[in-house]
Amino acid sequence: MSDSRQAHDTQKLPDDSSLPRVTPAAGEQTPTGWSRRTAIAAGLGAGAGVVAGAGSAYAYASSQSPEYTPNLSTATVGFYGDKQAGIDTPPPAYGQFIAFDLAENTTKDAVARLLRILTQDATQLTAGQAPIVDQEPELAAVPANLTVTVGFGERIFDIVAPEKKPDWLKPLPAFKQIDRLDDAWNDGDLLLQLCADDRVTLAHAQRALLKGLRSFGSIRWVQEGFRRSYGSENPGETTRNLFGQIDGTINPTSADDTMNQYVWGQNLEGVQAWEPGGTSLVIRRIHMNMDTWDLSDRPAREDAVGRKLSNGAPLTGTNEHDVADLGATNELGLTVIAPYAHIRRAAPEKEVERILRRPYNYDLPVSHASGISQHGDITGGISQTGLIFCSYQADPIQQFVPIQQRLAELDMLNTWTTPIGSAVFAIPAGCREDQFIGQALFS
Amino acid sequence: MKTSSLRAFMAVASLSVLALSGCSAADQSTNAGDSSASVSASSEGALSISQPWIKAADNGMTAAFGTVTNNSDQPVKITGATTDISDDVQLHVTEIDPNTGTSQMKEATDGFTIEPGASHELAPGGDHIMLMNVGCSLKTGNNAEITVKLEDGSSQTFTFEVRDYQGAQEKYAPGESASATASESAEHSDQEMGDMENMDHSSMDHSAMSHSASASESALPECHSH
Repeated sequence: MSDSRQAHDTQKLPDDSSLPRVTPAAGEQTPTGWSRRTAIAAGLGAGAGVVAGAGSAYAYASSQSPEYTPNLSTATVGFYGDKQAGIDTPPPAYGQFIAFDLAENTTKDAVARLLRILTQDATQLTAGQAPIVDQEPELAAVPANLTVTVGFGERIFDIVAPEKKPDWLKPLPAFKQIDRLDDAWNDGDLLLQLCADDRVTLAHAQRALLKGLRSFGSIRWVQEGFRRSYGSENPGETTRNLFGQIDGTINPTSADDTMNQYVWGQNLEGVQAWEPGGTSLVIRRIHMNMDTWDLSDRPAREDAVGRKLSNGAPLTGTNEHDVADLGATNELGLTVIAPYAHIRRAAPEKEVERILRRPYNYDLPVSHASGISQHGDITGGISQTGLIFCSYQADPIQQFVPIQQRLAELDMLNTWTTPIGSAVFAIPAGCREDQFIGQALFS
Repeated sequence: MKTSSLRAFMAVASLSVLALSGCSAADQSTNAGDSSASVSASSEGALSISQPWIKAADNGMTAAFGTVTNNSDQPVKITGATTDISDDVQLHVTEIDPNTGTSQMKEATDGFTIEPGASHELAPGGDHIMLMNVGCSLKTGNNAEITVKLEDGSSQTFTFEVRDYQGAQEKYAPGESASATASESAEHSDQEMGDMENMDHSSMDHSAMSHSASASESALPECHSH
């Protein structure tokens, strides 16, 4: 047991100086403006100075070399910090969202015990180390940019510190025009967001953490998501959803102050984080009807969103990040970006109406499936496909809800999409080495 | 975990959160200098321990684990252990019964000797510190202190983190008996354990005491956490 817990004390980086770096070194800004966190290795025994993702996925050819160290075996995202990792850090390939319900009569003491072991095990797993009672410790040896992010539902506050509960921490108002929520995907007392670039790492981390939580309650739901694999696209690229759309072009970024403002509630008039370093997460599970999407051709698809499918450029522009000209008209005097286009409806009307989107796709296996589902169907056809739409913002009522209300009223994309789950969580601040996540609630 | 045991768990009177030192186990790791462990505890003396933990239990028996290192230049022999949560603590070794393939725990009558600079692993399926008749509920996320007694008359106290664990279900075989099990021994703690041979306890083990409905109903008040 002890041997396996000493992994990564002699890791070497692959010699990839001539190869592109998938992730820049510590202190650099990523092309997308996701923030960097280096592993805080001291006290953990993780490979000191090894930075997340250093090396290149394209170094595969050198795998025959005895010097070769697989990139993800040393790729860590630091756990400790003022803010939790997994929000403004680059999204890894796989995301697992687990809502947990606390047992009835859960005490404040029990919540403290839960958070203490959760923090400790997360600290070790994210460093590529086996937690204290890990029975498959070898599986913990590949950190693969694993992050563990903890969120609180209302009950955590009700039990521990009712006076600290944010006003917005409750189910979103109903969006009657579009919602077809299934309670199977709604709400939850505690959220675990696990993200990693290796599916085995993720499965092991999930098992290890949930074993530790078993005595505290039950799993409410698990949403399993994925994006492009590690190394499949450049870190600067905006990901595509399974409709083929570039999804997430206008995001707050760590390259300027927008991440601090909109996600962490700093320097944004009228909006404040519920606690310093804290934020909120809205998870909307959105069914995407692939069959009816097939009925629309490319011009209609682009018209629905207001962006080109090829590169995500607004229909009024050339490049993805060109600013959309919502006032531009065509020769008929109609706006180029349609009144019902998604990007027009989602455009902020007030300064605060911006959110960080960090979505994951889902694509469930179907059996005995055939045929074509119809408009409005959320089952049927040959796919169960959609988006785990994750929106991070300091205040969901001020920032997220107005956008969602406009989209519920009018958005051509609603033709093919249906929200089937909704949950809101308060994300507590990060912690230091001698603290546990959420400890501030107990003081 | 079964609902019944959850209910019992939640019925246990809880300590004030303030009585729990937030990351007490981790606090003690800061100067341990052991790169393999974020949780370790040591006190003045020849021994240090990394990853010390104790299996959660509502009552009866449990066991403590960790890797003990002798930092001195002399061999150190652990001859026993004490703790305020149990008045009967034994050092155990585990052997696999060649007839059944199951692990059998036996008292380490010679103690554990650790050579200078060497480490001695206490792990499920191997050597461990066995606590009989635990007088309170050990809840995951709390911790407990155990003092190990050394041959030279000195002792050292370590803090063990309580964790849920489904393994460590070795059968306890006191003396020459291979039949009595840990939980059965606990339930018959007034008896001489040697008297229990030839009883059929094949279905009884650590898990039975902590997870069956009947055992849960007898969950004891929570142990004081250090």
